[in-house]
Amino acid sequence: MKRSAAPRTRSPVTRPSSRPSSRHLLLAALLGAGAGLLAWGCPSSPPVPADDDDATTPAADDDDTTPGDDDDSTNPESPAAWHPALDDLPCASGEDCADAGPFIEDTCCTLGDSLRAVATGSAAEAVDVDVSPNGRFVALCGGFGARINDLADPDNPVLAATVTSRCQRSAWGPELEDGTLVLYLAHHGDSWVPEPFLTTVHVDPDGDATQVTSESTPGVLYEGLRWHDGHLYVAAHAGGVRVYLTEPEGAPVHIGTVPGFTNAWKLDVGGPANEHLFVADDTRLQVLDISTPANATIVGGLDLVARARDVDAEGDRVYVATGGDGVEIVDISDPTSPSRVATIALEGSAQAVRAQGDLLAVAAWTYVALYDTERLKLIGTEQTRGAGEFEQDFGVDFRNGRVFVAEWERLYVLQHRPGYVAPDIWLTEQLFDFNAEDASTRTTEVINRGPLPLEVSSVTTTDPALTVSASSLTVEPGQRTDLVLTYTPPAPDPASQRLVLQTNDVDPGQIDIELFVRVAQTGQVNVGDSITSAWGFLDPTGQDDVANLEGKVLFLAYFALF
Amino acid sequence: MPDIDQSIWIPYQDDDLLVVGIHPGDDPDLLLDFVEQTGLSFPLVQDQGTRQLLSFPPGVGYPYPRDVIVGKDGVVRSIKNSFDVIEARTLIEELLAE
Repeated sequence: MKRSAAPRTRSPVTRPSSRPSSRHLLLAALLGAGAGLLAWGCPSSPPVPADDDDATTPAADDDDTTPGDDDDSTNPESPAAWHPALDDLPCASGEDCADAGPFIEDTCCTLGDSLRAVATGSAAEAVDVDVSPNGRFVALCGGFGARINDLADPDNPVLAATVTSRCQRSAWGPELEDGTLVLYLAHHGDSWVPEPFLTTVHVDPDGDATQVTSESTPGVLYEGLRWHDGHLYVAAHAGGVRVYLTEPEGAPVHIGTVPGFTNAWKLDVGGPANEHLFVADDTRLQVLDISTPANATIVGGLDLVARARDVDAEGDRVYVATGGDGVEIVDISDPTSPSRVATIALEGSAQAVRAQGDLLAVAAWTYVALYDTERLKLIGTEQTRGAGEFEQDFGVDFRNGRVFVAEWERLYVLQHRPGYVAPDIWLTEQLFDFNAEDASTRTTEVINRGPLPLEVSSVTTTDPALTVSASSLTVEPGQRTDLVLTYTPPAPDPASQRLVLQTNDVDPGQIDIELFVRVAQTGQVNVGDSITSAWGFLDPTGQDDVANLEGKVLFLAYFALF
Repeated sequence: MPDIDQSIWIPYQDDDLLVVGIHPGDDPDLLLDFVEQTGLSFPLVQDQGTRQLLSFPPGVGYPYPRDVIVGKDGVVRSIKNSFDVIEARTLIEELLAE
């Protein structure tokens, strides 16, 4: 991730003096547990955004372009032009066709899959995405404010404006008589911008954005937002759900607060006559009657299997993202008595959900999935950043056949193409370490998440010291098989080698997959190794003493931000 | 990372489990910003080079994310670069019971 030299100014909003939030203090306690841990506190300068100057960043390099072949985005009906290997894909038939979508009869033998990336747009540390009601703009909230992209051509988003208020959630409000759209932004307060706030922004038809009001009430941590019928509903953590009366030109007026929440996080309006509010409240789905917004009250609820990350109401169902526990589908035909219909288990971690009709888009952290909710079938997946890239999909919206994804560094636009089917490869391991002096094996599982058979036409390594258990594979839809990599000394030169799989997965970066193999004598950790004094920096007491780790199970999560 | 927080750290933090996020490099501001935007709550450390347990030379691909699970006896039991919550929980519960 490239960075510009000078940090940006944060929000221009003037607010009262700084006050750490309870969330801030909790993290401080955890993070400050030892000398080896990060110090906590308000830094003197924030990090520089990923693409502050769009012309200098990888995201900007890709802006306005298609991740795959240049011509592909403008010719979706000719996917065979995308890659020559597509000519060899099998034709869908029978149940495969029936599972693929309503238009399969016309496209059954057309190659491709139902989700494919067509464009990128501007975002910075994005964690939420919302398309405006008229479909013209998409807002992405992030650490460096809200990026508003113009969707006049939805396959070519153009950055229209940046609102510098740091935010985690957004919601579009009413459209004014002159075509101006109202956008609300929420910030929950943290060490960068300690004061939580609720901001109102006007976005005119040209995409120019003007911040018009900002509210900051002591003790209120603003989080999830939803605007409906002249009212704005705000999830405010333990502070419950706040209800505002919105006026086109002025600040939202607080007219009531609904208590009784553990951690109100995100929310959505739905149910019969759209008179109910569904709130993700820690491990419970809470239902509020909002027929009289000023007197909104909790009228029902349902315990969830895990903490809810997002909630979306569509028709007589509510979809709840619960991280690694998947997506819960809840029947709300009687909103006062919600009942679980099914749970979608998925690879990855469901961070956000958005339904449109009988389709459900899921931001699953490391990829995006699309489900047919009537048949509970997975009908499409896409890794926005391709194999080998660190992908973090936190937000999703779904409009007019396009899925808009808030990935940490940028906006991705995915096209849904009903009836297109393809295999989808998923590997449980993509990096392999071997000790140069010892013969050993490593195993990865090859999983096919798609509705067509996955054909791995060849599996090769770049050095004879490394062999694989199969030269080709076929993995049926939904199935998995082991691929074993064996290392036999002497060590290859260079130490870094590659394992290459040629597949019929049509997603970018999936036709030829290169897995990295390293053979080295030192500096690596393998299963069976014992921890040494070098691990002392994990000592939670801060004494750098590995003895303080004794008797504990350690879960070490290596990750990187670039 | 949010999933590890939700599925591993929060349910097991009162047991004999220590979850630590390890970030390479020396830019705490970048890490802090990520934490606050995503709401991570487990401890994080910077691995600034001298103690890289999982070091990879340039050109060897992208080594992250990568999860290492160590038993109470100090022996590495699992190294994965894809997070399967059921698999991880199963192993952790086995190790906690030892």
